[in-house]
Amino acid sequence: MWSSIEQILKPDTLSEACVLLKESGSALFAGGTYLVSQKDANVHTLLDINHLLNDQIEMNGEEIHIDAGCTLQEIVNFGDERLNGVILSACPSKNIRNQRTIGGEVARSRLDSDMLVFLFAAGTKLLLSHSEALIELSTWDGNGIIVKIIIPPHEVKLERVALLDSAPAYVIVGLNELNDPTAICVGGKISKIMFFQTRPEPAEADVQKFMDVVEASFSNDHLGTQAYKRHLVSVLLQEMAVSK
Amino acid sequence: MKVIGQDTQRVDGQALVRGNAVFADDIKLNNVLHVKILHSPVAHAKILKIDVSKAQALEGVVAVFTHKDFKTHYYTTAGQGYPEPGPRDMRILDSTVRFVGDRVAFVAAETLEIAEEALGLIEVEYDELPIIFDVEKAMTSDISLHSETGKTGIHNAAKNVAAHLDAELGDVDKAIETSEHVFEGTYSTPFVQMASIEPHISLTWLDENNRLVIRTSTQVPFHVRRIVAEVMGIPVSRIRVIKPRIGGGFGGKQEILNEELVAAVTLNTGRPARIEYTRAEELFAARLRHPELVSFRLGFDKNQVLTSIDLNILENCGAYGPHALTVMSVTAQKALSMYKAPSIRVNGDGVYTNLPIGGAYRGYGAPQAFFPLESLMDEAANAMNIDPIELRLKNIFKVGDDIPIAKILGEGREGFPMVLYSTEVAACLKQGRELSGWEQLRSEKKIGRYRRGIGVAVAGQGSGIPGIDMGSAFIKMNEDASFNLQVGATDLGTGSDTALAQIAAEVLGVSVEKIIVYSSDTDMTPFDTGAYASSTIYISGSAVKKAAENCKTMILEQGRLLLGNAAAEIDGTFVKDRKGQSISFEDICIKSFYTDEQKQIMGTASHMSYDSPPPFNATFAEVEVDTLTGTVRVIKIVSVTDAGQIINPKMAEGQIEGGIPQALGMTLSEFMPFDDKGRPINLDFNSYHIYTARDMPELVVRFADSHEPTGPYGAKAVAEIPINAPAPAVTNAVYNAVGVRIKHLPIRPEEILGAISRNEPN
Repeated sequence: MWSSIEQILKPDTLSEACVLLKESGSALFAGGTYLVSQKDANVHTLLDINHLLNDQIEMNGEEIHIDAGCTLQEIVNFGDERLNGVILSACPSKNIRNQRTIGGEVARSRLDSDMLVFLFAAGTKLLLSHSEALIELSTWDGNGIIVKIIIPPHEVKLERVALLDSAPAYVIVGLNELNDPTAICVGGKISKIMFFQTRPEPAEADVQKFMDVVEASFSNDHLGTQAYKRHLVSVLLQEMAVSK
Repeated sequence: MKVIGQDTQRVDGQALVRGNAVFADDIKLNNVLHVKILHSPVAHAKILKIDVSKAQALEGVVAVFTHKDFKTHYYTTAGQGYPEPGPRDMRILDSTVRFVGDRVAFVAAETLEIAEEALGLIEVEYDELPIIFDVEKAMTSDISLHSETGKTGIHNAAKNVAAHLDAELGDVDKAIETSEHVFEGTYSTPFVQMASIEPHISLTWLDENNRLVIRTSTQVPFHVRRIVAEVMGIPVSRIRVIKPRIGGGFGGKQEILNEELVAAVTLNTGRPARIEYTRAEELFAARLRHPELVSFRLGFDKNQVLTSIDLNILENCGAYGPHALTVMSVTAQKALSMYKAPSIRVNGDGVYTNLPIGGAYRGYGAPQAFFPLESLMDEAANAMNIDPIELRLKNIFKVGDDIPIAKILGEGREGFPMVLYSTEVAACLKQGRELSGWEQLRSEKKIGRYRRGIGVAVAGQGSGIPGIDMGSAFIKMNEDASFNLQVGATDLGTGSDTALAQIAAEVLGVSVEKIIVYSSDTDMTPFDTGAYASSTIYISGSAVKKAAENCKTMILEQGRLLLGNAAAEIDGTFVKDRKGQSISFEDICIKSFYTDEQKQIMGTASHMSYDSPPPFNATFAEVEVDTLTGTVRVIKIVSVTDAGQIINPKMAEGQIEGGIPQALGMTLSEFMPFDDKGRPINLDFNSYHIYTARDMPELVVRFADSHEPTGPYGAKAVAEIPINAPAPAVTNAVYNAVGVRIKHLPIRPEEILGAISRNEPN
């Protein structure tokens, strides 16, 4: 534990945790949080919610319902081929999969998370502690505690460009063509995850507009220029479209 | 031979796999103080004011040190020969900071957390100075990074030149002018970090006699003792340095990086102290491979035989100059020891900039030499329409050749004559050609999105530093015919303790299990310059062999005395005579201890060599280039090495398999960018990407049959050689695949894509 932590509280309910979370200097503590190496000197109170989170995973009709406390390994054990593909690629260590939870994966909102891009593209919905209504992951503002993650039927394909297989990708593209409209999601070393929905035959102008925004969301750095990363997104999208 | 050449179990293997307390930080000290460093957030500044009162007032803080607490004394942190060949340009703490990460102050506190918090309470007022990152600009700039008087060994402080070298044999200009073919190019290699699993960790305490004990993760315990004694102003006799098991060094621990800080804390407070670098500190405040900008001109006659090699080196030392001269010397020395050319010339400058400090890193200048040299050889072969392997075979040094550059360029001084007594580089090339599918891949049609290519490169290294490196060993016999082998040589995870035990066992005719190795401890083990320059097997191994031979001679003499027959001889683990009398090693020792002709059977010896026989390597890389993204994937590496007689094949293979991923990282994935203020961007393994097991291509590792007559049982070195050739082998393979010549590392896919677009506009 890092030096700024003064207390670890164990709230009785998620509602209580939500209230406490609003206080400055508080952060949630669940699943693999302790594996996070980056210390945040502004955090002085940890809210342990491990006991408040369920960890079931089940099929509900054609949807997969995953409790936020479910570890990545528990999801792997569930045996969904597409989920397994992305989890095993993103987190090859079983030791870490045994700690990292799906709720944490979403809540951390790491832009270079293959898993998050996958969930975006799949049209994932979230059940939050303070509401009974489901909300789209792509519209979630980060407030509230995730209770359940619902993945609808999908045909998400995910492609990535990284310096190494083991390295976080700097360009990730997810494509879900099952639904109408088609969903495209772009992550990586980017300022925010880009989400785009299109009818099967999108207008050229709309595509260009989306790609312009995507390009601007990348930076010019040692991994390449913004234009190069836009090019990579195009290549990956074409690749996925061709493979279909 | 019974033991040499066998895969024996590592002498430290059981303790390591059981998780026993073997590393520096595996002991718990009572009342220990935790030490943290305040690093400079700016790249170049004078410290106008530093106020530590708030930090000192924090409960749990025991001491805070700034430059005001130390007399001005300049030294080098490089743990190498003495007197040091590099500049003395660093203080323990200075009033000027010269890179982001430079030391500003350090704190000793009751807990690590308090020490960290205290750093945030130190108030520093900086007067920021102009910054220089570019080596060429640094040499013409009005800004001097090291203008203070009292610094020594700097070649030209006004021009920021820490070190300079030049040498010429023959008339290079004339030879180039009259050459049938001339090829030239400028290439650059980047900063890269050693990324040892175990970071730099040091602990200090005072023993019962008030002597300072330093338990540290180091490759150079005797240099630690000497330098800490100098910096602290105490005699060497008051310091004991213990080197336990090491979790990797790769040159990064050939440095006195933090031992002097914890020593200062313990000497000032009387309490034990501990420091451990974080991964971020390793990446920005430890040592990195020196980036080099290297230009070659190669002249060939009409028969594709080299007439001349002209070499120019610009080395980026970063803010200080440890290893500045010698890394650059190795670049020159290794580049000019591979191919025979009547005329050779080198000109090099090691230049200060406001960037992190260059240091020793496996290969020590040689990777910076072979990337450009082997790239240009490939270019020359293509231009002259000759197979790259054939061009190399035509020009490499052969057995019996004199290598003239060795006499001119030594470690910071004139070197020693060098004759090549063994080289199997031709055999390495031939074996690699077969194992890699060279002909087929090279001639394969390059079409489609994913294109495969193959490249080759050769490289050499050395086996210790001639005339400088010295190792010594002490062996004593026990009643059960086991032997304590005490060496100053430093096993930093390589398995060298095991290899040294094998050498001793071979001489003494016993099993390796009978050899109990202890390394290294400046109070207990004899002197050794340390584990660097691929010296341990060749230098320290020779000392062990001699010491074991001396010990064996004493066993024989004792056996003869005890048998009363001067003609008796050793037979296995007995001394026997022709009358049928015999006495076992055990009985010889027991009688020698307790009853007859009483004495300790033991042997001691030292070894220094004026030879440094080069190990050689041929590396073949197979790659696949994605022509739509420019990304490069290494599919297979074939690495064939001439390291003389291999002492322990499995461990030698491990050395090769460990060097290749480091080389691939430098080539493809280890980016170390800085922002415009000199602040490093990639400070963890989430952004600084080293090769992991998951990323590795297929590896094929072989050793050529070889025997080096000057080495122990015919051995040469194996530690550094594997890291030198993969980079040019990969970039040559990229050229073979897509016709793009890479001249700057790491490879940037966008550049490949751009070049492909230019080459194939449609």
